[in-house]
Amino acid sequence: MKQYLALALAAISVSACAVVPQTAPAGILETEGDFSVTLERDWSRWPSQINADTTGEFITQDGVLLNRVHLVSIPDEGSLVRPRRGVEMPIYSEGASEFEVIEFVTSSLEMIGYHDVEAADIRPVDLDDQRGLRFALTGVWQNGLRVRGDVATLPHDDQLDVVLFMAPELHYYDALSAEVDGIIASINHGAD
Amino acid sequence: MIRRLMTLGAAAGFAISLSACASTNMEARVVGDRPMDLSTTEASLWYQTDQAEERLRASGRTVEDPALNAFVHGLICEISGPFCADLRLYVVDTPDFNASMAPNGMAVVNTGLLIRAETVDELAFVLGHEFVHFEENHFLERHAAIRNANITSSILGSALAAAGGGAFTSLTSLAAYSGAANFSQDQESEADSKGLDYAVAAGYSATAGAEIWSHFLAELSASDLDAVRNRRGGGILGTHPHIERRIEDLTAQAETLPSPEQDQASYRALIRPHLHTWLADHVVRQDHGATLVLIDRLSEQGTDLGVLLNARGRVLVLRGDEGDTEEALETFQTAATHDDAPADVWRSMAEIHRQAGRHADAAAAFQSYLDRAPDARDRALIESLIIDLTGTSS
Repeated sequence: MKQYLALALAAISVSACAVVPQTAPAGILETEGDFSVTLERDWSRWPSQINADTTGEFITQDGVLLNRVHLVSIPDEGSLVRPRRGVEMPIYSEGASEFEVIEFVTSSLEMIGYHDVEAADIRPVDLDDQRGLRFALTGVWQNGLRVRGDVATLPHDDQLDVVLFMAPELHYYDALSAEVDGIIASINHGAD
Repeated sequence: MIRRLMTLGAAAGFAISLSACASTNMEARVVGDRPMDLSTTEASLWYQTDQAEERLRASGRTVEDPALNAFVHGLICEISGPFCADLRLYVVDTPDFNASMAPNGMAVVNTGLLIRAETVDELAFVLGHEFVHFEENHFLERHAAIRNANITSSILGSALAAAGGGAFTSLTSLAAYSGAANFSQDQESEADSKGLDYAVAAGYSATAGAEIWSHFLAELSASDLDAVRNRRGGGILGTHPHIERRIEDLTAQAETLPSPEQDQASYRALIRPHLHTWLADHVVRQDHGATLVLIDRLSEQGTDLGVLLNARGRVLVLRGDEGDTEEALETFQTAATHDDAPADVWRSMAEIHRQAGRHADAAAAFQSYLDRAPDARDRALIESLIIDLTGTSS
C-alpha cells in the first residue's frame, strides 16, 4: 500500500511540472520579458516553456498555427530561436542598427520553418516614449501557406523588446491586425 | 578461455550467416518502372517519396523560373536518355550543395548546387551521379543494408550475450553499421564513376567531376564550423567517401576520357538573374570562411562584380573581425563602380559611415541609395535617418 502511495505522490509531483496554455485575461499583461502590453479581450497564453522553437512566449486567439503574437525581450548576445547544439543562431547584439535588427528577425524566422521572409513598410516609431522600429513581414510557412506579420522592436537597456505577430495571409492576418496594432502601441516598461 | 572464445566465434559466425541471407542487391530499373505489389517494402518507399513530392510541390520552396527549369530538365534528359519521362525536376531554393533523384522519379536540384557549379559540365556530372543512384536503385539497396545492419546487430548482440560476451555487443553494433556505411560509400564511388561516364557520353568535359568536388572541398575546409569541415567525409561510419579520394579517383578516370573546353559565360548567364538572392542566402548563414571562398571563386570570372562584391562586403560586416569594417567599405566602394551593383551597396556604405560618425558621408550615401531604389521598402526609415544625420529632410 505504501508503495502505491509513494508512486501516486511521485506521479502528482511530476504532473505539477507540466506547463500548459493559460488564459491571459483582458487588461494589462505582464510579459515574461521586461515590458507589459494591454489586451482588449482574453487571449490564450503559451508560456516559453512549451515553445519548442523560439525563446519567449506567445499569445493567440485561434491557436499558434493560425495566429500568434510573440512577446519577448532578447538579451545582448541572445537569440530569438531556441539554441540548438552545433547550429549557428542569429544573435542580437546591443547597439545593433535598424537593418541588423530586421535581418535578425527575418533570418530567425527562416530558421524555424518560414521561408522567403521579407520585411516591408519599415519605419521608425515612438513606443513608450522611445524610438523603436516597426515593419511588416511576408513569408511562406513550410507547408506552403502564405503568411503575413507585423513586428515592433524596441531597444531597452541592453535588451531588444520584440512584439512579433504572424498569421496566415488569408483571413487570419486581417482579422487581428488592428487589434495587434493596439497591443504594440500599449508597450510599457513601467517606471524604469 | 579457448572454449569460451570458440563459443563466441561460433555465435558471431551464425549471426553473420543469418544476416547474409538478406540480400541488398537490386536489379537496375527499367523505363517506366513502378512496383506493382503494394505489400512490398519497395512500394512503401515509393509511397513515402510520393508523399514527400506532394509536400515539396505545396511548400513554395521551388524556384519558378521557366528558363532555368527548362534548361536543367533538358540536361537531365540528356544524361538519363530514355528515363527522361520518369523524372520530374524541382529546383529547390536552399543553399545546401545537393541534388537527389528519389525512387519515384522526384529529381531535386538545390540552388546551392546551381550557384556552386561554374559550367554546365560540372552540373552534368552531378546530375549523372544522381542518375546512377536512381538507375541502380541505390536508395532501395541502402534501405536494405540498414535493415540488415539492424538485424545483424540485434542477432549478434543477443548471441554474444548468451555466450557470455555481453561486453562485446557494442562492438558488434559498430561492425554491423560500419558495414552498412561502407556499402553506402561503395555506392557513392560507383555513382561518381558511372555518372562521369554518362556526362562524358552526353558531350561534357571529363575534368568537371574532379573540379566541382575540388571547389567544394576548398569551401568546406575554409568553414568556420566544425560540423561543416567534418563533411569532408570518410571515417568508419561515414556514408560518403572522403572528398579527396573522390577527387583522386575522378582525376584518374578523366585522364582517359575527352575533356572539351568548358563555357563558364553561358552558364553564368543562366543563373545571373538569381545570383544576388542566392548569395544572400549564403551570407545570412554566417559561415563567413566558406562564403568568402565561394564568392572569391565566383569573382574569378571577372563578371557580376557589383553583385559579388556586395555579398563580400556584407560577409565582412557580419564577421566584424579587426579591419573587416574598413575592408568592407573598400569592397562596397569597388562594387559601386560596377554597373550591376545593387542599391544595397550604397545603404551598406551609409551604415558604415553612420557608425563611424561621418554623418555627411552617411547622409549622402543614404540619399544615393534612395535615388537608386525609390520604392525601397525601408524608405520611411532611411528618410528619417537622413533627417537625423543632417537635420533636413531629403
